[in-house]
Amino acid sequence: MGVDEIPSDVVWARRLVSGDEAALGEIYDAYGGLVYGLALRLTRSRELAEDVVQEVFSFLWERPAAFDPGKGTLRSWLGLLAHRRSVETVRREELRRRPAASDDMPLPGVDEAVTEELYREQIRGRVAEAVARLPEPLRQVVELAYYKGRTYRQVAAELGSPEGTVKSRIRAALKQIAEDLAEEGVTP
Amino acid sequence: MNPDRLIDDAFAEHTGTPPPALRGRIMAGARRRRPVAPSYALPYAVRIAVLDALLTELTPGEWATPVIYDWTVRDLVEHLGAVDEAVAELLAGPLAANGQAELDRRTAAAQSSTRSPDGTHRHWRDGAAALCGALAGRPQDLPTDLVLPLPLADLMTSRAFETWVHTTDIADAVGRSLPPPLPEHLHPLADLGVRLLPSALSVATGAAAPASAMITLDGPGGGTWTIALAPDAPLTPAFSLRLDVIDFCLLMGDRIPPSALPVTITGDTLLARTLLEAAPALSGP
Repeated sequence: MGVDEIPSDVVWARRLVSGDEAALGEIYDAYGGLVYGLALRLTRSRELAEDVVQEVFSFLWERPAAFDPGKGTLRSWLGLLAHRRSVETVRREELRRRPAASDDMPLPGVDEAVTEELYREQIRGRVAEAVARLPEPLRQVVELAYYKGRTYRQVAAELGSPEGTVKSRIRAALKQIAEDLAEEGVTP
Repeated sequence: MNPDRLIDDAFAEHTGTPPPALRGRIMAGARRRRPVAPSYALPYAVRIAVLDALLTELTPGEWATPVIYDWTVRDLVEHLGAVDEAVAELLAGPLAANGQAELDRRTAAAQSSTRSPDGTHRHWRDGAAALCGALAGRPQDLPTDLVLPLPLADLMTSRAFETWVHTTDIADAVGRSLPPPLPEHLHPLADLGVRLLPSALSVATGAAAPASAMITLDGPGGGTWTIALAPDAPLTPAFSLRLDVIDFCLLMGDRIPPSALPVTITGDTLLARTLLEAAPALSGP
């Protein structure tokens, strides 16, 4: 991954917009695990997670022009969409289980007023909060690597730590941020 | 790395293994949502998918954007639907009338309908899907004569061509970027364009030129063709033209004037220029 993601995203976007089914299969093979894993963690249900995966890939197929490779990677776009649909699914399920909810009560659907960009902005805020909660040694490496754009080697040099330590701290930090993001109420 | 990459990497921490059967369900669902066309109409089916994808993203207000010939996005989509409908009727039997005047009449009738943008979108897409379905079992060399005498396969490629040109018109008018066609989807359009050059020349000049031309179209989807501009023309090309494949298609579609085109000419320059000037002659609304 890295810079070589960009050209394949552009080609995938062209093929999806052209209705190329094989491209959908390739994208599923590349990111189906990401979407499913995220949905499973958020919904805590295999059945609901499968529904989310179907929703996400149906959306990609039916609205291929909604993904603009000029604005970000497909991995990022799918991750955000998976997160959003999972949170919506959880809320729908909670309402359904509530005894007061009757059948004719409308269930919340996709809040179209929250644009993709706005949703990303909300998640950015949640991530920044999660970073702020990290123990100091973890917070330091994340800030240098992700917010100041340093390489692992540069981070290691700046902190006077071995590169292996930097990498393991990043991994520990990512796990903790991931758990924070998976908690309920992640969106306002 | 940047803060957005941090979101991606944190999400990726949860990566899991979906049940194997899920892939099949997703692919089957996708298949049900796209029209099926015989292979010679694939360029058309692809253009329908692309325009559908673009129209799906438009706001109701954008449907009223002026595009070309005093037509809005809605008018243009109604026009495409009206011509597709004429093609579908042609498959069922001879039309009461054909030619450009008949297509203009049908277009005007469709544009005066009271369909909402959504209604126009659906009407056009359903019509295109029905046309794809109606092609099943028809021989691709079935003679047709809507505006020009063309075998069915070429008629469908000409529908793909027109749909592509109007899709780029709409994308430009509403300021959306659309990816260029994939080479394998562009090539059939360029090929039809080259093969129609002799007709364009005789429509524009009223005469056939007893000469052959070598056309080289650069870029993915391009190629090299030697075409006789008249049936009795000598096989050795009198001139050669070399230009970009997308530029050539836009020239045929009357979207780039010949004078603005970067082109390399060798041989009979006068005849080559005449051919370039004549190239857009077959493009209608």
